[in-house]
Amino acid sequence: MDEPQPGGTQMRPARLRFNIWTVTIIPGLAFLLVFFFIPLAGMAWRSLTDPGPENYAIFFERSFNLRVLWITVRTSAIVTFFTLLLGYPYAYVMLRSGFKMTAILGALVLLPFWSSILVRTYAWTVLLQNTGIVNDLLLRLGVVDSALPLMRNELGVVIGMVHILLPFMVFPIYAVILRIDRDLVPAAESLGARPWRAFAKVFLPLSRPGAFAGILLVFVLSIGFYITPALLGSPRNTMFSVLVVDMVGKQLKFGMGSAMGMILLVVTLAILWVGTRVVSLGDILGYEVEE
Amino acid sequence: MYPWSRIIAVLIAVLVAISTLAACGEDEGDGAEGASGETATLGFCGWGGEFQESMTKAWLDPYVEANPNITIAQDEPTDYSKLKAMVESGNVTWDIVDCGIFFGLGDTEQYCEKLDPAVIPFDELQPDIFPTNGYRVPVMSYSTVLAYRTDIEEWNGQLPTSAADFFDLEKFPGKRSSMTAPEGGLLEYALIADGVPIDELYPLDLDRAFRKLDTIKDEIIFWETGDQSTQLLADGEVAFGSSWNGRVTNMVKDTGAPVEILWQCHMMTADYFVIPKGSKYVAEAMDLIGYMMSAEHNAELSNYIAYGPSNSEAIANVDPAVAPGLPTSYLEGGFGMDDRYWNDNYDDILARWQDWLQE
Repeated sequence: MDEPQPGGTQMRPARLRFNIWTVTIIPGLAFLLVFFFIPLAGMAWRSLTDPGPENYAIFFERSFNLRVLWITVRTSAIVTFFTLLLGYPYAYVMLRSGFKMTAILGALVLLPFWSSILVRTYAWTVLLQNTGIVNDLLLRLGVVDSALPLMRNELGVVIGMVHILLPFMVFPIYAVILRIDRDLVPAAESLGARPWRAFAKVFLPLSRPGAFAGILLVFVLSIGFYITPALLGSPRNTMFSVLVVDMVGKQLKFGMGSAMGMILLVVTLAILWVGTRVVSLGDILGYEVEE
Repeated sequence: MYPWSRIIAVLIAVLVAISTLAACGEDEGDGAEGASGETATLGFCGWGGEFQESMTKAWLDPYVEANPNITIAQDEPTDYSKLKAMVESGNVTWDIVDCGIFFGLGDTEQYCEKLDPAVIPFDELQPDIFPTNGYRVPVMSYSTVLAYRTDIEEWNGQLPTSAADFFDLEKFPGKRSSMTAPEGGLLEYALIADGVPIDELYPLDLDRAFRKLDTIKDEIIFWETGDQSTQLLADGEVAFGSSWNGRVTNMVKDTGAPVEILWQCHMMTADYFVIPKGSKYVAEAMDLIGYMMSAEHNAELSNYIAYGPSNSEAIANVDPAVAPGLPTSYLEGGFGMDDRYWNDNYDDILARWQDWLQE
């Protein structure tokens, strides 16, 4: 017998139905077409014609560019890992709490989400810098002799990004585990499974779609992050988006900038494709996909 | 039963779709065609913050009072890619743009209108320090400076007096700061500290500069924005750092932080006004620029922010009370940044700088 179906949730077959409500897609599609797909095509065109396809060759020639690409992917992976590590238990606690506690926990994660990202990043600066609050406390308590370098390095960037991206992990997971039939785990236990085994074999697999949605969201968002790495990191671990901004905004090389954007897109899609080899797309979307 | 509800639903959806697409092609309503004497609204774009407020008080407000047919619509911050996109699409909404050191010279001249020497006093605008080919004018003079805190115990009461002291970690221990981008002056200061005479500074000997910078590399904190540069000094994160003189002077005024500027050695440069190509009010914009650049009015800005006049004739008009904060009061210690050299070689310098950062 294969994996248990999420109790109470129908696994919908992937079939399109056309009825009158389908036309409600049109405004959204029109918006996406005009503001996303057409500009994307324009960008691809510009990368090949301004001045020419040698943009791509020039990019790959410099090892610096490849290093930045690698650092960006690596940092995004680290950030995704830690948001998962922190976000999953957080969502689980939200699930198991009473109404009031759930609301409070939800608000705690959501409220920073609604404030300006720049303000939050600067706030981290105040906390993490050498003369900042954390170091001040540690020095006064005598825990350390000299200030710990908590920012202007990968640590600061990861801390800042995890803080900002946590809601994107918590809420997809929470939305999925909310729908898991509450009787399944006790049922497994009543059949003789120890609590940990019941959790691992019944609950965890059912929560996978949520976790994968969260991972997808956080990873893709981190790859494009600009302001937080720029302010909390150092030039030694420059992120890709900073390079693109400089290329377009300062050196005014729209063609090269477009090429870099396309390269990032392709790399991201490639990584996601590799991800689908490990996890089927159906698991993420909640569909049974006929292979 | 006629499916009215369905028909209405389709109509609504289609209407929304059409209006969305139509809204994209909306043309901004044109103001009256501009010619002198007729009403015109000039789009003025600067860097925002105190600097733009100072320009407004010193120049824009008095000009608008004297010329009631002109109104000025302000915008910020200056974004070169926006400017380029505007010019390329033919939809130019900025008529005067305050740009930094690299714009309006060389490759970027194609995005600017040629300025009329009859309206603008180019000879008075110190062309040897502030290079221009007629497509831009220097707004004011400011300096990229080294500034230091005066309350560092480890310095035993000594204070820095030269660029070499910036690289002397034994006598003046503590963190340094530098702009993340290479044009923040560090290369020039490194060469001067290493003994290169000022008139032999350009073209920059990059190998020598990087060798000198390596001696303090671990102590350098890099900043992205002007706010960061002064915040680092104000907080004490950095003992000796680079910034722009106007911001440092204002920061000290606002916070009382014990920071002083190393006027013995400072790199002088300017911001530049350009008129984007395709502006609808070229004549009006040039008139306003001519006003701001004139010997009569150029020094007015110095009353509001610690920048000196770009017009050499205007230096005499500077209020003596504000003179101590201006780069133009310390001309012996100042050297001009060679914009032409930087413009021609920016890509190479940037590539080498980026590699050096990664080492």
